[in-house]
Amino acid sequence: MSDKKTYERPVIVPLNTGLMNKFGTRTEYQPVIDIDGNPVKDLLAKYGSPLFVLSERKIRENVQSAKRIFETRYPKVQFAWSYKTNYINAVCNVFHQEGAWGEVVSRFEYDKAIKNGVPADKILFNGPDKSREDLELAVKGNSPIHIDHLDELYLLTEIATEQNVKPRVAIRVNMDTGIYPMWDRFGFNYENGQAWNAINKIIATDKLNLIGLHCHIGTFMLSAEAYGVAASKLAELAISIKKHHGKSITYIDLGGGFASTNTLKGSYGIGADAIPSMSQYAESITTALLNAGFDNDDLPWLYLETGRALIDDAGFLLGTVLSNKRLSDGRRATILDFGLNLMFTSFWYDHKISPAQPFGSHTEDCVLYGPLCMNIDIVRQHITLPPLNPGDHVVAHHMGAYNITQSMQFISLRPAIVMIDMDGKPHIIRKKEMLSTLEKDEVMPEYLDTFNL
Amino acid sequence: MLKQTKHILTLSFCGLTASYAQVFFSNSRAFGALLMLVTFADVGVGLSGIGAVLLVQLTALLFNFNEQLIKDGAYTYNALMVGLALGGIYELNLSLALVLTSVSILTFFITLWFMNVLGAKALPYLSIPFLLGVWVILLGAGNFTALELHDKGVFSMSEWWPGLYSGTTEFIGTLPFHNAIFLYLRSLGAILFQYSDVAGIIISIGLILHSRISFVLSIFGFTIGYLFYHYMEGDFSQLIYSYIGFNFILTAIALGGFFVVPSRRSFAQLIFTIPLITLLISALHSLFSIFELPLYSLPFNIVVLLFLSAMYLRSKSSGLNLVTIQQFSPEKHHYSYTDNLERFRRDTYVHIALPIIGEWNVSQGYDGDITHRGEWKHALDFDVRDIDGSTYQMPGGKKEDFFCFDLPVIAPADGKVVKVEKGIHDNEVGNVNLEDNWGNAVVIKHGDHLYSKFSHLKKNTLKLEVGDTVKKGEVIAKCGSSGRSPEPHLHFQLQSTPYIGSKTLYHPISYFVSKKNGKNTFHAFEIPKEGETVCNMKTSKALTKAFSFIPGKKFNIESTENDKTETWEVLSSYTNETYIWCPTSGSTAWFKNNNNVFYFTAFKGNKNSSLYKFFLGAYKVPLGYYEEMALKDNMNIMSVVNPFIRFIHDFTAPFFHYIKARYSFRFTETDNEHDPYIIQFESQITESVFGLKRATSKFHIKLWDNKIALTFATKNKKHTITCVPIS
Repeated sequence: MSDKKTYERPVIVPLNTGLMNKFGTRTEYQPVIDIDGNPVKDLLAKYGSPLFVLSERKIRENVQSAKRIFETRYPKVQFAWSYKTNYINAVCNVFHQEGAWGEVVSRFEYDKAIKNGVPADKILFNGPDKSREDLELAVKGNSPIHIDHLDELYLLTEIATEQNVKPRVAIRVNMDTGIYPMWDRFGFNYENGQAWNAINKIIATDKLNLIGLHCHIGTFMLSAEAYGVAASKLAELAISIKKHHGKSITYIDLGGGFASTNTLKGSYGIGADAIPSMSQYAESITTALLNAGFDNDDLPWLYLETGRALIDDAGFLLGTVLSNKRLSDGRRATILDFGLNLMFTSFWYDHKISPAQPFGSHTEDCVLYGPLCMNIDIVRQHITLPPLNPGDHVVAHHMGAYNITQSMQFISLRPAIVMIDMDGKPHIIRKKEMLSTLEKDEVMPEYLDTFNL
Repeated sequence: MLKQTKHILTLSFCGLTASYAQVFFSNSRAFGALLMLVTFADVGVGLSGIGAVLLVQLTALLFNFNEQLIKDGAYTYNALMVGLALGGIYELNLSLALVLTSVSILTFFITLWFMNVLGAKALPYLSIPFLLGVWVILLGAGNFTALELHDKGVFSMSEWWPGLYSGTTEFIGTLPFHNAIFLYLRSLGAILFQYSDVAGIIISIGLILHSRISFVLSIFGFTIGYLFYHYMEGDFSQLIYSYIGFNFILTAIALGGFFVVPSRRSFAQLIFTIPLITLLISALHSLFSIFELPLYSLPFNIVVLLFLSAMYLRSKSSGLNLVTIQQFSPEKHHYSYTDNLERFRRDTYVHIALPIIGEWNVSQGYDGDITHRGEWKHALDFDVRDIDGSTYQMPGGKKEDFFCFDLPVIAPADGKVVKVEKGIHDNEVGNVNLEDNWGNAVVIKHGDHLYSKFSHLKKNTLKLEVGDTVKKGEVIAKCGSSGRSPEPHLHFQLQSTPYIGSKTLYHPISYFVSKKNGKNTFHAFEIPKEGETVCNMKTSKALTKAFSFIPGKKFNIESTENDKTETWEVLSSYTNETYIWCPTSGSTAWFKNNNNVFYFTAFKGNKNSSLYKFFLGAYKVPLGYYEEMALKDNMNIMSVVNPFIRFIHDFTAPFFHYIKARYSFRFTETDNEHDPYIIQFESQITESVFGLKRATSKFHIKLWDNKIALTFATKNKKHTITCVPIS
């Protein structure tokens, strides 16, 4: 940082006659000049703007910490990496190196996990979309299949009968854990007996090997207690199975949904203050399981498909200011080179955005727009930022979860993704897309090949 | 009727031979039969002995005494000696037969009385009944003039083959130390009232075949007694008179290997106890000569009983170890004792697991530098660390930043809460509360004089009250930082008194796994070391199920080695020891399963059987699968080593072992660690002589669906034994 004071253009701050506020309009942000020792400026110069950056160190810290928190509260814990959260192979493999299995919700993800080298019997196959072919593949690989609906149960029973094998299955259970909205579109309901019914069907036909119970009560859960309720209900089912059918369940899978430190739109205060800590989730779940009444030497494994909470804060989106303008109501608007196309999650989060260069003490309320020629492309409706000039860099935080998997080539192509390793060295883990990337699989019928204008 | 007659005849025959063997501290019927033959060097003596035994057997049977004791010869060996003694003194005729009948019954009653009285104090009755019985007759014989003194005559072997006897004597006369050798052999013979060199030689051969250690002891004991006499310039006529030196031999065998586990110490002890015999011989000789009574084995009886009762009064039994289960073989006593010492010594500890869930770090071990000193040295401190060894997350200024803070602490065993302290505040990092040194604490009673104590617990997390019972694994409180605790950690100790602040007790953790660089190491009854990352062992259902050998369970065994099918059955003895019994080969393998480890303790029977292979291959199996986890164990030489090689080894076994047998085990693979269907492991047995590998046998074992398949190779051919439970 140079000692020379940077020039900042004057700002207009409307006089508010609200309550006195001892903090004034000061922003809580510090400039984020580098990521794991790599200056933002250099990264953008080298890999182009915008740019996704992932910190391997942060990912590993997150997994190790989550494992430690759960494993010191419950003796049998297994994490499975939720592919849909971020399925860049390099990212998946960091999780696999840390001992996480794979959790997939489609054939495409299943194939990806296999290609990454995850043993098929360590891939949990979730989701409502599994074709006969997909199921046959999973059965062959002995993957635990989490049954979502009765039609899948019947299809799988059919396959098992045909092939004379006993696939390992779990059923997905939905339930009232006291939170709203209640997710009841996936799996079998607990309260109305559907789940117990499905369990009895599986055990009575004796074609499938019921080894687990799965639930996923919601996403970005702001209540740790709900997980305790879910764990208790699943444990109750497991104990009933043992009591009525003499069969021990190998695992209870509580799915994902732990909140990350992102800030939900409309919430008061910043995310990090509002969400339960990993320890609170762990405490709630493990206490419920330990007190459920299992025999000490017959405790089921606890499977967790935590995605967002393990990766969100390890991902950054780096970008550049394209221009500034005044809106008709006098508010300042800043246009960035990334928008909804790369950060789908800005629909529900107020992402933290930091300038990537030093700034003075004055800030101004403004709107951040993305580059798309679409009215909905808004990065932040309101944000207090110091004045930014075209060419200045910004860093969007908590971008690790879903943004990469949900980013699209709408209007513009997808940027490069870089991972910074444990020694602070950047590695490109997905190249910047070119026109040819997008057109690779396009086919032009011959008669459309030429035209005259 | 026929069946009953057969039963009684078998009983009587077994009891008869066993009686002879008992005299030499043996239960070997072959040895007994050999000794019986020796007594027939004089037919009169031989018949008197047999007659006395049969009479007592008859009495015992008629009055419904314990059949097993009849079979063991326990009731009869004293009467036998009375018979032999009197047969040697008096001519065998009707009057002797009458006297013998009475005195045998008298001896039997005396035996019963001493058996009862001394037995209550766990002391043996030795040959006291014999002494009393024979003295009664000798003291009163003057009154019965019908008893004629025996003169060596027509019915004596030495009459028939004099050359055999004089020839042997002449041959020994050519050897150096011939006097001592004569004395030794004749003393040995004198135990059966046979005062010839030939008898001595036959008995000594029998003794070698029965027990090498007994033989070495007999020479050792005799030599000490002889040298003592020699050095003290004693009256050798005492030794020659009725060869009273046999007392040295009997005492040496009794105290060197029969009642005391043979070891260097049991031999060393004899150096001091044998001279007591010489003192007693001299003293009692003067006294008994007044009544013209022979001393017989009186000195031996006195010294052995005094010694054993003295040993029982020790406050701690160490150094010299008394034999607890009489196996009638110093070899068995020695090997099973060393085996027990190495393998099962620690099994007597109450099983105490780690009081934690998951992987914790031992931040201060036994004899720690910080606070585990003096009376509190046997304590363990635990905390939780990340991969870089840090105990907290940044910034680390608050107790909540410490990984272990607020983590559950679990009961290490079943127990009852006897003391609770709660409500003491948790210190901020860096502060200590010296007033409430132990902070929030709980003391749990696990047994008599065994309590566990947990300290520095988090305020208000202890929900237990005094009197509550806890189950192993139950969460009892949360880790905190109360009391003398500058940063959150768990203090765990075992103690013998129920107070907070009691001094600590050395007590190992039953089973745990330590982790280092991703490698799992199995620990059984060890103290976790400072700096070690440890966790409780999780058992795997596939292993616990496959090795759940509940009495009554039967197995179908198929072996490709002999293409035979057989059935094994799991049984339990009246002392609650579990074993696998193979009727086809008549073999037995004793095992234990304590829910953490399955292990065999002993094998008896045919060493070509499949059961023996199974005994070797699954000698010790931890019941929790951990990748590549290995363990090692010693094996009892008696159950592995070739009997001929062991025969030679026995002579010096009490002093050192140059033959070693080691078992090593390693998990190789599983199909799924959480829900294993298949688990495989390898085991290997290595025998070494003077540190040189002599033989190795390798086994590969695969478990699936409660079935066990054991594969091994013999002469380049692979064989598999498959063990399938019969439902």
